[in-house]
Amino acid sequence: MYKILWVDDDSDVLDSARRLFKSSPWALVPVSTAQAARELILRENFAAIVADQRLQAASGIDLLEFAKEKAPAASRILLTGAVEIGVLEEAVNRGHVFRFVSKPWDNELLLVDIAKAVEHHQLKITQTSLLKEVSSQNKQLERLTSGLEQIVTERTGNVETSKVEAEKKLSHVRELVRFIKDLSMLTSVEDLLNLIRKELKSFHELRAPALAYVVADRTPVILFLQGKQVVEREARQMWSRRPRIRINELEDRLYLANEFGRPFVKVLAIPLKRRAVASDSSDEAPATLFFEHALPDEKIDQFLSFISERLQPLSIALDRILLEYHLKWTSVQWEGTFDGIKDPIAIVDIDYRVIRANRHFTLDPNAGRVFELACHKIFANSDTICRGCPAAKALETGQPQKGQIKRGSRVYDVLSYSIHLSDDQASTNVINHYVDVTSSRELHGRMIQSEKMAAVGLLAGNIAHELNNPLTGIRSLAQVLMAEVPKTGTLRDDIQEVEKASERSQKIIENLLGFSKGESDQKQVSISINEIVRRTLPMLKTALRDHRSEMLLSDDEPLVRVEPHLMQQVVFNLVNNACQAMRKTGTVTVRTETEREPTGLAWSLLHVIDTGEGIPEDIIESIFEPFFTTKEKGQGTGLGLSMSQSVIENFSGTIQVSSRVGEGTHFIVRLPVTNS
Amino acid sequence: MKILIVDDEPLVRKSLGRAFRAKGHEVLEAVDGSEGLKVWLGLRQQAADPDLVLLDVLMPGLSGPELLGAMSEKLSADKENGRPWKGRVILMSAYSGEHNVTTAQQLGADLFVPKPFDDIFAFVKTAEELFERTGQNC
Repeated sequence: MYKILWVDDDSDVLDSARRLFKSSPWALVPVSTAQAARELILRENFAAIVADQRLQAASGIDLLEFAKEKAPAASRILLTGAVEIGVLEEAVNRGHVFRFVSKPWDNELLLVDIAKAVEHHQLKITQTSLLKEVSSQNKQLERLTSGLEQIVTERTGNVETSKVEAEKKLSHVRELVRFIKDLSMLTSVEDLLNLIRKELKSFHELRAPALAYVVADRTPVILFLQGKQVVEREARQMWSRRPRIRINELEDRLYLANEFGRPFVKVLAIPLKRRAVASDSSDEAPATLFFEHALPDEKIDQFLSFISERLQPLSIALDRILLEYHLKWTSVQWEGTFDGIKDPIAIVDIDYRVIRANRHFTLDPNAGRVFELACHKIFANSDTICRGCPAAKALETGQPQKGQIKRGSRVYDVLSYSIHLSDDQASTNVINHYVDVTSSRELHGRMIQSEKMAAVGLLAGNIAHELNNPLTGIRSLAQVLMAEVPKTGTLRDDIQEVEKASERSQKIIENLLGFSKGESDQKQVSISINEIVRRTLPMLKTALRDHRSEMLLSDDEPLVRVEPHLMQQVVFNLVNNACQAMRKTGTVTVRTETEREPTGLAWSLLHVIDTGEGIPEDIIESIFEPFFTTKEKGQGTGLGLSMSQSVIENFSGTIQVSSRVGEGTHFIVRLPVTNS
Repeated sequence: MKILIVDDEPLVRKSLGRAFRAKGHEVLEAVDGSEGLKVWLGLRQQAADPDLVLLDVLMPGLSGPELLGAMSEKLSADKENGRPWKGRVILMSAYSGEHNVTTAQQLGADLFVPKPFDDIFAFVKTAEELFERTGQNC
């Protein structure tokens, strides 16, 4: 409830005012002296102050002026008995009176005025509080604004400092990244050491580092810089196995002193963490970086934090390099192993492409080790799969397979092993191992041949006896009958046929017998090949009847050690064969010559060359086999050449043949010239 | 000339027989060594000894050399009653590697002829010459 202060020294006025206000919404505070009023004004709040103009010992206007000053929100009403201009002026100017109310007043009008005064007060109060609020808000705003500015300044400062820091951090990280990148590019421990030195350039008090590590074959190695040169050598002893960084420890100083033969005063030992290095024996010393240094104590920490950040990438890089070394070393070992094997070896895939092969696989010494071409192309220069290659079968069955193929004149046993990389997958690669069996095959062939010969010899002896008996009868009887029958007529001719056939049979048996005796006769003499040829020629007259013959006998006549009649037989066989090889009239050339080696050895050579049909390639290897013949039935025993070979070899000689189908055949007999 | 042919090969006996008979000789044949010995002993008993024995080396039963041995045994036994044998022996063999004239003579034969013969009449001639050279009792 709003309070109204009424100041009047007339108690009646106050009473009537009391009555008036009784039913009003306001509370009246009546006072009779200006003094009391002033005190109240100072203590309490009033919505309106009504003051009589004439108060004892004071003027109402003074009071109101006071009130205006002390309680400006209270509306001021002046009660006046007589209105004078001077009073009005004063009241308005000094007291800023809200209303003048003249005595006696009209109650209702007064209440209206009071109501207005209260309203004015309310307005004023509102205004004031609003003003107050505005001003406080303004103040706050000001405060805020100024705070904000400060914050902004602060923040700006912060931002600036953090930018510098961030840049610092960034460049730090960049440096690390660069270091890691550099590390990842390294391919050798030497480069690693150089990189470490470069990385630590800012620490002037550090001497060049030394790196001790264990290589794949467990050799301890120490790597150090000598000038700009990286030197690697086997370490004289093992270094500490302790895995933590050590500063100036005696153990490391002693180790380096022993290793380099000079004292080390201050040493930093930085073991690199071992991770995936192939050798995982835990008792092995970890790779360790050693630095001789003159770092002051406060710089050691700086260095340690610098190196700690790099320790892990360093370890990883070293690990990687050592692992690569190990792999390379293993690979070199394997390559060396395979290249050391004289047999060609190749890993071939399902399409016959060579994946890897050893040195002996290709005949081309400049060929690399890894090929993209097909194995048959590289190995045999063939566009088709080698006949007899067991690779496909090995892949199909998963079992080792053996086959035989030819490369030129060489014969190879091929062993194919399929490679199983996993159990559930069929293999797509095989290892082909080629074994040159040419000479062993030849040897085997020779062995079989000589066994055959022996068998033939044995057989021949028996056959000679068994056949010669009836043959003797047949031939003799034929001769007897021929003498008995009339000299003319078909009967005699027929019997003659029998006689001739039995004669031929007899010759064959003789041949067999000669063959079986072969070596038993010890009648070797020194004679020239020319002489043998000359002695043989008369016997060949019949054979040579239908052909031209050229005799080109050498001027010198070195002696060879042979059994003349056996050698004659050889010449006879060769020339006779030559004649028989020529269906049409051709030329048989018999030529002799002497071949002298620088070593002093000399060979007497006999060539027998015909212009016949030649020997097809597929049978040329068989012509020296016993019982091999291409002649018509009854024309040959298949023993001529095998016997000849056996005879010649018995005299330490050789017989060779070369032939072209359609052009002719060329036999060369070589016999060692005797010294005597 | 009376000739005894001991050979297990019928054709050999036949051809030799015919060849010698054609020359007017008397020919007796034995199919193997045992029979040969029997015939020879029989003839000797009858004092009809052959002048020439053609003897094969390898025969079933008694071989040529064995037959020769048996003959010389008989002859040395007969020495006492003073009836030596003046006949000749030609050893024949198809297995020429084993024998030659020297070994044949050691065995008691006079000649060795390898089989088969190139010419049977040449053989007959050789036999005749051998007989003529040494033989008196025709």
